[in-house]
Amino acid sequence: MRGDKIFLYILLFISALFVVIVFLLGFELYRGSSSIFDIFGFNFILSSTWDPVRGVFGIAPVILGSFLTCFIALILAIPVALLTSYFISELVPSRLKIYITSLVELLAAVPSVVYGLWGILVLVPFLRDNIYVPLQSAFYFLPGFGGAITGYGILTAGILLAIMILPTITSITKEAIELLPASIKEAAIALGAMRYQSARIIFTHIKLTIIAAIMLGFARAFGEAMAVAMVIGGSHLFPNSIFATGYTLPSLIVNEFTEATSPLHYSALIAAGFVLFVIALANIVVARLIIYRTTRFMRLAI
Amino acid sequence: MDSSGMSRLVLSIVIVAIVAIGGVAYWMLSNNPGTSGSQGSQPIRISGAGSTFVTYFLQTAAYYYQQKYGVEVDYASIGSGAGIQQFLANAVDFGATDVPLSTQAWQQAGDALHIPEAIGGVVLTYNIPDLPPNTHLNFTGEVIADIYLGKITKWNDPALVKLNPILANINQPITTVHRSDGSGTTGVFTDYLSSVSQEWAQTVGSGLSVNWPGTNSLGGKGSEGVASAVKNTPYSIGYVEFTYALKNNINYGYVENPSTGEFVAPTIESISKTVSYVALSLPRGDQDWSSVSMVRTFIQMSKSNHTLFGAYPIVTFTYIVIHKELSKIPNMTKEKAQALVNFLKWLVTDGQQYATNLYYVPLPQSVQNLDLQTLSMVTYNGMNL
Repeated sequence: MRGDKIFLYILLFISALFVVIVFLLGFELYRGSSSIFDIFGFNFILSSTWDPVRGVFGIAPVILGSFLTCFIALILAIPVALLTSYFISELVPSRLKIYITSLVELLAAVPSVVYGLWGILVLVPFLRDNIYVPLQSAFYFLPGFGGAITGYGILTAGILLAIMILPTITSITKEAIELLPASIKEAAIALGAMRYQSARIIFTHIKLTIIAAIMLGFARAFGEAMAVAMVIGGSHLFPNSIFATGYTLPSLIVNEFTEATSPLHYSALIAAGFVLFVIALANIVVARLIIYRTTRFMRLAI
Repeated sequence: MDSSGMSRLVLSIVIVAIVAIGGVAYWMLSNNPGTSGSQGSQPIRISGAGSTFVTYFLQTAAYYYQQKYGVEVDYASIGSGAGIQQFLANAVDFGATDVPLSTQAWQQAGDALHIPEAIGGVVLTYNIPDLPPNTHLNFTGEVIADIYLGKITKWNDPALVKLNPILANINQPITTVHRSDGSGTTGVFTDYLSSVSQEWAQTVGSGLSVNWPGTNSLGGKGSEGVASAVKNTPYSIGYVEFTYALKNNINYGYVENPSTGEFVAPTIESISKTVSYVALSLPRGDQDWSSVSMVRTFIQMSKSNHTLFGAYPIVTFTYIVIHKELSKIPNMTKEKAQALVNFLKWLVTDGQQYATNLYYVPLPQSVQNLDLQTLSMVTYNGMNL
């Protein structure tokens, strides 16, 4: 049994490593950004001026942009991903299934800079000419539909992110559906459930996995830097229309970090990284809470 | 998941981990100057880091230098800001930056030398579908500043039509495109706007990243991001780095030469003309260069009635910074210090031929002489090299 003990120590060491790495990462980010928080305090998070020349830094529109792009991405991606996963696992003949599954997984393997290039060269002009311009001419009288249309912006970044997180949510959900005991599906069919009814039953049973999949998709979208930086249009103003340009935390960092020559600018970007880190941690905590609460209710129900 | 799938998963994780750890270890060993150092038998390796703008030039020049003299020069394209920090931390043998060291950084370094090694220019590009292809519009500094300030909002604004009658019927809003990433291109462009427009200097100022005014504005990542944003967006205007514009055959505007009032196309000749003119007023290599700006000097000289025909105003140097006393860098030997100085001497003279091939503007003779004079100040343990 000595081998077992050694194995246990190795496992302990590795898991301890994770804790240490996360702690050091947070500490290092906090240390690098402390001069910003000393000077601006919470105004760094609440104010909207980003002026490296005068050394004034506030990231409220950037944080808002981060959440907006993720929100758009999730709204667009969740229904498509859920229906796709149901379609692949339940309706596609098994000989075709492997091809469609690999196609979905291929989408996940495309590097983000390639998504960014595709975004600039194809998505931006397409959305501008075929979606945004008609949308504006139809709804120009509504608030939020005015402003200039360039094709770049928060909405475009959200749509691009939706495509990028689609495979994540789809493949996790698909796995869960396939792992579901056949008895549940059979019971649904035996009761004469329509296709959409049996889909509903299946999704109710894998609710937890879906939440986890969405959280993973959120994490990917929230942390995406390169593709977003290429299509979001880099503006530090609060968006004044749905077509407005904006910024997200990772794209701000990737854009300005390499050429941040003043110490304050440098530490403002690290502070942006710190905020990103805190939000990512909060995302995990919230996900845990949701899962914890849902499982408790399920236990009570049983 | 069944048990064989599980063990396959574990196996693959272990393999990935081993490969990753091996890769990292190899990288750390190969980057550690202690192991690859300077035993007589090993080839000398010089390391530099910084500006992305000069990457092609430095790496190409380094390749030919190694072919010829057997000295390896590693250049890491990590950005000017990071390059300055690596230089100040003595982590590299030389830094490369698109802006001179700030007074603070210069004092921190103690004995920094500035060696201008390449020239950059900024070109205005625009997309007006109504105009015939290759129409070159004329711009003055004030008009460019007002466009980017959001004061001139339409292409048929009287100020623009006065310079370009062809725009009289283009009743379209202007979209301004700028670099969203920090860059030397933005640095020289905003420096230019600050020196031609009081209002720009007071409200925006100059820097590698600035707080862009105007509501109808768009940021593109990198020169290619700006170029494709302009190409994608009808009635937009943007600025890109000269080398990029030349390589990609981008349509450009003429900019007013403040000393003569003529409108000048950005070309290798018109840019090196400005440089050779302004180079006469450059400081010595071991002085504080933080206030050096070719754009500003040129405009000031124009105001005091110097005239220079055919000079393009939006130009800048990029610099290599090294320590005057090289022995303070860890693992520096006399041979390596000598190799570094030899390389830099070659780079600013014979190496400039590779600048032209890559569409960079080569240094004029006066700047080459200044650089050689600066390099003759370098010492190792107090001894001249």
